[in-house]
Amino acid sequence: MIAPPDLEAVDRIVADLGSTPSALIPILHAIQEHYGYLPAAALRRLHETTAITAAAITGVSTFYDHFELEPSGQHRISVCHGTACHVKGAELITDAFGRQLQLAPGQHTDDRGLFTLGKVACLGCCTLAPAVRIGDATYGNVSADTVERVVGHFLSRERRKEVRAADPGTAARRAQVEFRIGLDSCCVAAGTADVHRALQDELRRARADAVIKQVGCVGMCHQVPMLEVVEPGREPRLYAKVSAQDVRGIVRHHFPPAGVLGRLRSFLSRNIDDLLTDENWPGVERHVLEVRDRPVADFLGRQRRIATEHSTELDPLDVDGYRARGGFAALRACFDELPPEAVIDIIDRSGLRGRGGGGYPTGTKWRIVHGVAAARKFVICNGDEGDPGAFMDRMILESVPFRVIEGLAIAAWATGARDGIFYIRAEYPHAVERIRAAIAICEERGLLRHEGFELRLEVARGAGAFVCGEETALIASLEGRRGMPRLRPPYPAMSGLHGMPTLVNNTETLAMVPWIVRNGAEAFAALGTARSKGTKVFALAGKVARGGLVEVPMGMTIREIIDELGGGVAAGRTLKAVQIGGPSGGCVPASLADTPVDYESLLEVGAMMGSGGFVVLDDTDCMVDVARYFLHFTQTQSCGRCTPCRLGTRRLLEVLDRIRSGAGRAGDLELIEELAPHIRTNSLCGLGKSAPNPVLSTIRYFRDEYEAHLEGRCPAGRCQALISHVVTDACIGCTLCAQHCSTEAIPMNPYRKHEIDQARCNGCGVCKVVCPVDAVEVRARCPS
Amino acid sequence: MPKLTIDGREVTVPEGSSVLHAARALGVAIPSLCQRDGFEPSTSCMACVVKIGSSPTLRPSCATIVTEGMEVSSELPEVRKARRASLELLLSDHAGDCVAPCQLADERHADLPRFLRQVAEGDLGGAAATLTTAGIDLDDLDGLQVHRAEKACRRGRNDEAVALDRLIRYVAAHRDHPADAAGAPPEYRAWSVRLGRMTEAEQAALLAGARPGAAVPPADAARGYTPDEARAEALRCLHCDCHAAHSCKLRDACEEYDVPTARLRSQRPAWAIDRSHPDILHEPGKCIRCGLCLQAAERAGERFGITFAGRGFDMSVQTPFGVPLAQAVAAAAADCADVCPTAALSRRDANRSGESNAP
Repeated sequence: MIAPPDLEAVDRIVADLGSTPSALIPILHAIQEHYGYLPAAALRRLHETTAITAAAITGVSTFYDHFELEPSGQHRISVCHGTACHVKGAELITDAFGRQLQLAPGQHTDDRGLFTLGKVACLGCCTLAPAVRIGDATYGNVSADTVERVVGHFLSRERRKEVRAADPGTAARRAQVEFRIGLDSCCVAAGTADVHRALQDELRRARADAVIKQVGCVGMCHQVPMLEVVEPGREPRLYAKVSAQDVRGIVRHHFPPAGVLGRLRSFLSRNIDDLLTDENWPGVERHVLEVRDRPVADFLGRQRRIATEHSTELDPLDVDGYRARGGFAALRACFDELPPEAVIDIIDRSGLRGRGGGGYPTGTKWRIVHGVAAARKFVICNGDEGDPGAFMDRMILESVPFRVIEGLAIAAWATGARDGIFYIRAEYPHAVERIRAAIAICEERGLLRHEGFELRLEVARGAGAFVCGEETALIASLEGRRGMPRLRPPYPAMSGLHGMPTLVNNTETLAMVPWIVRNGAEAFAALGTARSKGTKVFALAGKVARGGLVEVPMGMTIREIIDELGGGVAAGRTLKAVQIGGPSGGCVPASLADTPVDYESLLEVGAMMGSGGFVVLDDTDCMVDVARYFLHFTQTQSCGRCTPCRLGTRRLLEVLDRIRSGAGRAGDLELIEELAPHIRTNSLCGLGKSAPNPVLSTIRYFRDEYEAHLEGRCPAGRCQALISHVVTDACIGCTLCAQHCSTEAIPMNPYRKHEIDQARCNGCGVCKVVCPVDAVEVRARCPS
Repeated sequence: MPKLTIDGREVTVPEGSSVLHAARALGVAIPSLCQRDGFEPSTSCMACVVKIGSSPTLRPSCATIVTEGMEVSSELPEVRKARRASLELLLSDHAGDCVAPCQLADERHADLPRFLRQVAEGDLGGAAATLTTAGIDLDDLDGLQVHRAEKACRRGRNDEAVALDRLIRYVAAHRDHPADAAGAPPEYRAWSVRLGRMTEAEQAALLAGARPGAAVPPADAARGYTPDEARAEALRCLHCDCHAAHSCKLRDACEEYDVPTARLRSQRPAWAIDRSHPDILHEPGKCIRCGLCLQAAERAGERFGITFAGRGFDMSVQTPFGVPLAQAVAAAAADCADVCPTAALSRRDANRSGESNAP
């Protein structure tokens, strides 16, 4: 029997956060942070001591994925199931963790209570797929056979944490050399934190006159951890894929040890860089990149940075640095010379449209809110980016928080709002911290005040519900309710948060605003196509050589983005399709790769801008599987309010599931074509209306693949029920496959050729992944 | 006062009216399950969708506020098709029998559960009327065939079917009793949902409310049942027919749109019944997630009330903190049952054995 928890914490939390219904979600967050989950006794206490109803407490705590009603293990393992992770085998990783922790089917917490295994919709580290978060550490590029090492590393890191004394930190004094290191989620996932520590140690040891500066996302996530060294009067040097062991070499390169030899080296290093680095620090050189080198220059060069401007060179919380680069000049201009109507006019003329997916003209939205007379108005920054496969909002919030704040402040100025709220996903703790810290700095400096205008800002955390990206659901969530969308009109612009006029803009949209005000509507409208102006940030991921965030002018073609920015698909593979727009978007086949990327063109080919997920698929990807993946995502994220979405997506998913498992029936494709349009035209909100898109677009372009599945074949060799794995004569008898097999279908047979028991095999394919000599082949499963 | 047209017919309605109300003012029938006057529109069932102007998407008429000059189409094929599709989806997640298996199996579809309730009450005249309405000639029972109904009786799977043949003969012998004022039995409706074969657990839940034991044998086989024996046997009925068989909005709408009952049903949801409340019954398998009971409980100021728990397909009606239903809704219980468009929540029926007394 577990002792009843000490409930004083609940009283403290309520005293701190208030007892009104709209405080419910922050209170639940705080309770969970205190107890590790939401104990029933704590929820009852909450009910007894506040005006929050019991129905609301149960309703809300069971609606959001983030809230746990059962105690879980000491550390939580969240395997990312975002798009990029899915196509790179997230299911296998989950299975592998399950085996590592010796979990029985249906068991989530190991017997020691150390780990709880779960899934997360997206960690926003798509370029490092498959990604896994354990506690506060994120691991990238995890594979089935590195799971054991990952767990081991995490545990040793925890032990180090316990013994390590507080880090004295690097003195923030003026120095000659600047070491810039990215510490946003992607970079941390790739091990930047270890590099950071090593760098601190090495600089201390070398008594180097240098500072370490944290910068935001460079967008070259496939190359992280990255370290940029900036010395006055020299070209900056960029080191890619740096490990903690490489750091000493890099530091010595820039701060040579004293002595004759050292000075000589120093001389050489400054003049004949390549020779020295090659000879002395091959470990480093292996990763060294010059920004001027062609592939990387392409990667950065064709881009046009507006929302992500300066994100690579700025310390995210360096307000002076931001101001030195024109930051807050746009807001200043508003205060000094641009009345609200003039600002709205600029946004209107710029042609800016909502970057969250819908593409609604931003100026029009602002004008509506501006035109409504009300005692109070709200401006909300929608940072509830939940698309699996998109993470630009996270990057923008983490890397350039002041720009988003400035954009929001301009929107408030233009619409007459005095309250601003950042609604940010709970899965983005760094973004929440950054924005909170940035707001505190702005308030301290009085940056958001001007003669009668004073902006109050707060940060609200989401709680793990994709549907809360829909503006009426987001507002319901802010009011402390289940995040269920309602019918529009009335639009939030007329009646939103607490019934007041409310402007809801996406993070990326707001990040465009200061640039537009500073550079003029015309400069922005000069970029892009006739109806889609400016730039768009895409999360380029999947089967490309270089993944990461790219910001490109609207109208660039799909092929240009893949080839010039992404470096094309891997050698030997062919481009099959690109999934654009995540769960609300669709798959554009390779034959249409010359489609320009803008709102209208994408709709025409059956995709959608969405929030900018851009996942490249090659010939090893099964389109039925991809469609099923997205539909499964939206189906589990449906709020449940309206019949077409709640039940329609489920029935549609069942049809796809049976097709994928080889149990499809005649008439199933027709059934899909009957259900999908119904869901599209009858669902209440955008989630349901767009949910069938991935299915409809794949059936439009890849109908033959669906038909092949009905005949029992998966042409891409992906669908587990339709394929079998066979060990070829190339087998060296290393037993790795036997060790990793999830169903014990491979008997251990050292130094001899292994065999797979087809009756036991579930087709997971882990044997193929771990085989060092590529001796596992995928074949069509014979119909039994 | 805005003016609008519905299927080309003009009507003026008060400011703030919904399209559904405007349609009612015109006498245009639009099915609606989750809407109820005086309650917040749930916009859940989507059976009331209409087309506004030439918009490619349809909108629920219950929550769409009329604007001046609005052009509404309610009878277009695409609109009717959409309503039918949403209704079919609701059926794909529905567990229950509209009509008891015995009535369904009986050649004349006599309302046998009602007949048994009347026998149990001693209303033999009414029971006789129930049979004769279905075309059973009580003067000539030589050719009476009720074995199909007896065979279909769910009780038969557990111990023994209700002895319908004997009870009919018993009633025939006493048919001169005056009938109670219950009126004629409701007309048999062919459109109905069937539960099909029940699982062990479902069967057990069904039996839990009924009088235990095998069929009552008449002490004198030649003379048939005595009044006490007949009453005891009639009380063995499981009352498989739905409480809302003739008031269910889902059934009404599905009948009108002739919706196929099981085409989309891949896996039938489990049927269950919560009999713990003294006044109402809860059959979650019949819930369409409209949320009207939540609103009814909330406006009655219940301390706990009812809530939706979970999300999406797994969303269900629950009591907060899992408290018993009787604790969750006290004063509001009858209201909750009365607003339910189906029989997910229903008032206990004193005429059904096992429901008359609080547990």
